[in-house]
Amino acid sequence: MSSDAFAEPVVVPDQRTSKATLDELRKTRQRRRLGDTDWYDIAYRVYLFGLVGLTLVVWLSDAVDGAIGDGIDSSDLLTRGPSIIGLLVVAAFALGVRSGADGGPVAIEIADIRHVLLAPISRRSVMLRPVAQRLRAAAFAIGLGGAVLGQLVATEVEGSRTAWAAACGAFGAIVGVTFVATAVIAHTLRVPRWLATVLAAGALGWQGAVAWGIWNHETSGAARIAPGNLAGRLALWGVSARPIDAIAIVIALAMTAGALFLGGRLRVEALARRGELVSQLRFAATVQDLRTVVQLRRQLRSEVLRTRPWGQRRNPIRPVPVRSTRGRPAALAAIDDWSPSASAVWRRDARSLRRLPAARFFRIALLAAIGGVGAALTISASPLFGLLLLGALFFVGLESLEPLSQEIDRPDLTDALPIERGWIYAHHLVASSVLLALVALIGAAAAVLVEPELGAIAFAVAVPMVWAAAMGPVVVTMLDAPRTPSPTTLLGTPRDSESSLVPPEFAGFSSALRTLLPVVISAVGTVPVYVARFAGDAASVARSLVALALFTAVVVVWVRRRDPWGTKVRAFMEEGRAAA
Amino acid sequence: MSNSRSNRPQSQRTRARGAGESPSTSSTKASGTNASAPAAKTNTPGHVAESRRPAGPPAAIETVGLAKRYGDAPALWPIDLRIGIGERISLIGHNGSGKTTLMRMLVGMLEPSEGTATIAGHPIGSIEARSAVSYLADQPVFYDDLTVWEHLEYIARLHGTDEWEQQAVDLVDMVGLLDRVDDLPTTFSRGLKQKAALTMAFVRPFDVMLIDEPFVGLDRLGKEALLELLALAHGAGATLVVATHELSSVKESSRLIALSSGEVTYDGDPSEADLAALTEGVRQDHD
Repeated sequence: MSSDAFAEPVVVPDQRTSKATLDELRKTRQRRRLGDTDWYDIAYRVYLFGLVGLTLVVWLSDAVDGAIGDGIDSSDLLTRGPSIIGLLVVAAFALGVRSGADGGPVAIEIADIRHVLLAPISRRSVMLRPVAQRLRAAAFAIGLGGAVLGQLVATEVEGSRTAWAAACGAFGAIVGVTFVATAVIAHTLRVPRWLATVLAAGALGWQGAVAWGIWNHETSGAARIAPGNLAGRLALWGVSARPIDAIAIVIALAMTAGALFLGGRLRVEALARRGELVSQLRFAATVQDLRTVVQLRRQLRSEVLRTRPWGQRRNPIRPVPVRSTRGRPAALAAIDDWSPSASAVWRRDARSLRRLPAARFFRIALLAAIGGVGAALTISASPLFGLLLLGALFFVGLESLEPLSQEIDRPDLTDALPIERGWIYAHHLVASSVLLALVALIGAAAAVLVEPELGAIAFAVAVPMVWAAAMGPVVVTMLDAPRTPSPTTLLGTPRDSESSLVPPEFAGFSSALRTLLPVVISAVGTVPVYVARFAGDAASVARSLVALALFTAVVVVWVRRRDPWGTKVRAFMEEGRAAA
Repeated sequence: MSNSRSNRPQSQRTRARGAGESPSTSSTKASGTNASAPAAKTNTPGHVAESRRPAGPPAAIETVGLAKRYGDAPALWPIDLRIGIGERISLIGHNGSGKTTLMRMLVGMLEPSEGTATIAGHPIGSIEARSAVSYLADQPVFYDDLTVWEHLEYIARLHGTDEWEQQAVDLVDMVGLLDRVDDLPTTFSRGLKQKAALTMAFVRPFDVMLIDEPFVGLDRLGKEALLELLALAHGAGATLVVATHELSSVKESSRLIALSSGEVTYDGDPSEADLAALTEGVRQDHD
């Protein structure tokens, strides 16, 4: 090889040729992927998905029967519905503008960034396909959900099933397109985070205020105008169609065109950051690892813990002077004397929680408020709102267990301590439970705001409910903890050695069970709300609270004693095997 | 070699002649205004661009007040650099000194927080700059489903090269991957991945090559092949910037730039530099 090999002049290649090369590259890769696809596996998944989906729809149809409020007629729905349903499209806008400010919503392979986006080829032609795919996927997935929901609504309200499915499907597609297109446009326009937050809060506040006013028949005329009303009204075309609502479709199409046009201006830096995380995210989602999905989504938003904890003035890098114990609260000194180890864990956890960013605290508070609203509506309107309550409680728990999560993710550090793992894990729950208690009060306040007559009962049940519901996320987190070492091997049994013995027919079900079990555990936390709805007397609610406390205690004891119990169970199994 | 590049644009031909351009004319010293971060920190980008823009022929790489911050944390203080055509630069510095950040900004993967930069006279990230610059990253990245040969083909063709095959054969032969061209590089060891990435960086035409930690994971054969490739490219008039911790390779370069905590602490002749001190972040003035 000689220097002549590097003498070829640098030229900007013809863009049509480059585009043709790119298309060829993508087609080759697509062919290869299709060739490598296990069609039997795909067919099995489709079959399972279809079966579960169909069962769910049939079950929901029965559950919905008579459950969507009492006495809602079509005219009331057309009056109050658009502004409330429009909240969804405004929420999509709010989430989209925030996602765009955080570098979303598109993610491409990191290899594409290195080899294609850094090559001399028009970025618009490169990004057109990923942006279009993202738009299409969001419109289809949410549109499908909308169509299914439309079918269910049709059983309760006048209008044909087809019309309801089509209208709600179109509305869902608009919600999906609004999210993705807003995010792409915000990203390419470099909307700063603070402005994104202001826009999101402003839009949600506007729509929310109008919806509230209409719900209470307090507004009229121009005060009824809100950004999501047209799209919301479109979802009700199952009852009656109004041509002007089609403007929502035109706006969605215009936003789609804008997103496709601006797609080439997505920032390479953001794409590179997301490219690496999204592949992990997809894998975590594939194996239904909910905790990892939540953690990676935080990373996608560039959400990092604060260097300096809230309320700490001094920079921790500076040498910390030895503090005198004089003047310290007697309670803290007593804890130190009682158990220095417990005190160390609790202090470490308090600092960990004080490092949570403001956005995380806001999210926790918002979820708590949503949970409170969900609880109030479960009691006063429909038991289906329990799903909203359950979702909010589950994610509140997941967001609040930072100390335990940090410990579980670093098993080597835990095992390096001369303390039993379970003891450390159990003590990590203390600080989080304090945070959860405060959060529960926000939820109770939100519930009382929606249903003032709930009053004292909301505050009475809130804390035990939130603690019990947090046991689901505790179990999710604990499932990632190292397994109990085998009593017969020095190094312990590799984690996969057992699961590899599971027949493939059961692997999918055990994986689904792993995902569903924590949600079911969290669902226990919602029991007092259902007791309040169906029994209604204070004594029954009090009994349910006692049951919740016992349930919570059992899970905490399991966290504490998991290792010794696991060892005993394994020893028992091995004895049985040896005897056989 | 210069003759063979004679069909380049005028600015390129001019620069091929200036391959031996003295560092003292193409850059300001660390003791001067350009590398003195504290003075630059107060300048706005526009002001920096006006006051610091050096006169003279277009450079292979030129930065004016180029800086990068992550939130409030500065990764690179405003830096002014002017690297002439055909220069061979070694970029050294401790971990976290800003070498990779600087390279990624020049290649268009990171956006500057302030300042501007050009590659061969074109703004970084522009299609012309992307044509001119080849980047060998510290972490090789490949498609999961393409072989080494397919990578080479697509990379060459995306850069407008039709007759790439002989060059590709020579490159894979040189690094010892001839038997592995039909294998997936994602299945390779770290060293083989680095070799595969090397071939991909060199298979396409370029005026400027930015190389980040190229010796990591390479065996003796790989290191020799890389040094030979760098020498051949340099001989052909290309500008090379090599970020490295391998101080033994610095002697091959015509100019040394040292970074410490995001600031240029040395810019000048490698033979006059105390390399060990520079990698520990000690600033040295150069006459």
